[in-house]
Amino acid sequence: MNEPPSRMERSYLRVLVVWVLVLIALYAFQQYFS
Amino acid sequence: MHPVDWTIIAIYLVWIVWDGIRLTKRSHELEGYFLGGRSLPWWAVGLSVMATQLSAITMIGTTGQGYADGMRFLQYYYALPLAMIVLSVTLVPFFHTARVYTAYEYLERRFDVKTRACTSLLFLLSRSMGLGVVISAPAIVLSVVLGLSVTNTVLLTALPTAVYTMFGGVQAVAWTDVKQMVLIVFGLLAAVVVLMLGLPEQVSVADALRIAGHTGRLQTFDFRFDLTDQYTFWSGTIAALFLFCSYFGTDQSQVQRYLTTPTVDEARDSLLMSAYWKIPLQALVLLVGVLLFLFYVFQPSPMLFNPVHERAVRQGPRADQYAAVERRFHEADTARRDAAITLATAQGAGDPARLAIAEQRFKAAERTLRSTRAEAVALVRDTTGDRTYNDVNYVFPTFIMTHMPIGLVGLVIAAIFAAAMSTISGELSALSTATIIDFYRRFVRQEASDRHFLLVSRVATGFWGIFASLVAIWAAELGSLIEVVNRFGSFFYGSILGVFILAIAAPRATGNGAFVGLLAGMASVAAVAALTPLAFLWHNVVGAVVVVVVGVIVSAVDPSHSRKTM
Repeated sequence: MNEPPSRMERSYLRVLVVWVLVLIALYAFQQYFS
Repeated sequence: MHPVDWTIIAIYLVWIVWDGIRLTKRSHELEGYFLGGRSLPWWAVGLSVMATQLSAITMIGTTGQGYADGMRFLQYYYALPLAMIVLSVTLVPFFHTARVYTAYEYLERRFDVKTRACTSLLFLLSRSMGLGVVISAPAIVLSVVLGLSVTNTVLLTALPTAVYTMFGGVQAVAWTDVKQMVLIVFGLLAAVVVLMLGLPEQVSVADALRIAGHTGRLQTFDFRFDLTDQYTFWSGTIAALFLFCSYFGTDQSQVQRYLTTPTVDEARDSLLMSAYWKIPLQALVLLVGVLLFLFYVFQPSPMLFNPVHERAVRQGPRADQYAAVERRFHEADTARRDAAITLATAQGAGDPARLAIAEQRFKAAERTLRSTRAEAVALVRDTTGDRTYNDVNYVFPTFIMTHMPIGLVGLVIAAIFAAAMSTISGELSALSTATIIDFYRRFVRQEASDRHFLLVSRVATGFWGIFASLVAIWAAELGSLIEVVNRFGSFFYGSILGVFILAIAAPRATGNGAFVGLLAGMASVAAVAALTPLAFLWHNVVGAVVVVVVGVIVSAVDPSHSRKTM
């Protein structure tokens, strides 16, 4: 059985998710106001 | 400036020195002085890392860039969260478990003393010169807006910082950074509120932002693959990844900070704070610039923002010509304001034909205004002989001095000082650490009491403070050469990253391989910079790749095979 992800692995995943969401938000901001 | 604002600035400067110096009591041994006894909390280190990176140049220059060019520059930071994850997985655990003081110390354990000395020397050279520019650029602007000499603003910024860094060490740096970061964010948010309140009643913030959008200033994505433009999505995600891995992973000013945490995971957490907040914070800084543009669309705009140069032209032989340009500028400014209000009204009317006409009219008015301002800039260049005259760095300070309320002026100017000081203190501490650990304790005196090493460390901090101040005063005279000095460091970043990649990812790499690779990397970057139009962000990729390729090849044929492992 696979090991559950460590605390740091979960942190990295969270950073990646937030990063993608921030980029999407910025793109939406650009498109909405242009 | 009102006496209340001068008082606020004076209170800030005295308080920050007192606050830094009172931490001296915790810095009686070398590990306490340089690494805070490896006991600082991750959140304070994270804020300190961000404060070091956010300099006064960011507050003044980046807001100016937002005013003139919009938010394109944000793309430069898109790779930063990825770089933080890469570093947390790779270099951070190596540094932490090696219990080193400097990043370069690790290279001697892995390779040899010449690789350590060479990389540390490159850091000292590039950082000390770069620090001069970090002090000089805001000092020039502040000297104009505060009516002080450049020497005085340099000393006002650098002297208090050198004092608390000398006595308090890295603990003073980190804890003052935390407070300075709070002041910086407060200053930026205060500016945003005042700028929004400055819009006309009939124009909402959303309407105003749409007007900025019509000028292209809200473009945050440019998917063109153009290697000569550093503000594209690809430059910001590929080339900047190398820059940020190098800056946060191999630059002593950053590495030293996360070596102050008790555990590897706390060091990682401190870096990940930047991963979350750097892009939004940079967006806020650029948004201030965009709002400045909008503010001056709806309020009368100065033709030029640097009063010293403007005065020089008014009193020069082409004063009449300047007055004529100024008359046309004010007409164009009024026409643009009318067109902007018409456009804002048309945006809410839901009539596409009317909106298209209003948009065309606004864009035409904006073009006229820009070309008139360009004529004024050309007159300044001809009159003063300053061929690189550019006053975007004066836009935000001009707004602060002329449109912010009493009290907030002092706080926001104090925030600009805070941004400068938080960067200077981190750099001074790092320069002192590299000088003492990589050179003095390595080559001059290996055994001595902590008291002795503390004394020479404080002397080294003071020396670098004086050296950087002198460079800053000299840089103020250089004009366009400042840019050259500023880019000096970017010649080495990629190559130094390449050496660290060899250290942790190429088990067969030798000291000779790393050293020859480093020289080859720097030579390649110099050649690429001189012979090609490649944007300087990509130099980091060139440097790192050449070091790794040459390092691996030379290591394979190196007869010494003097490989060490960590």
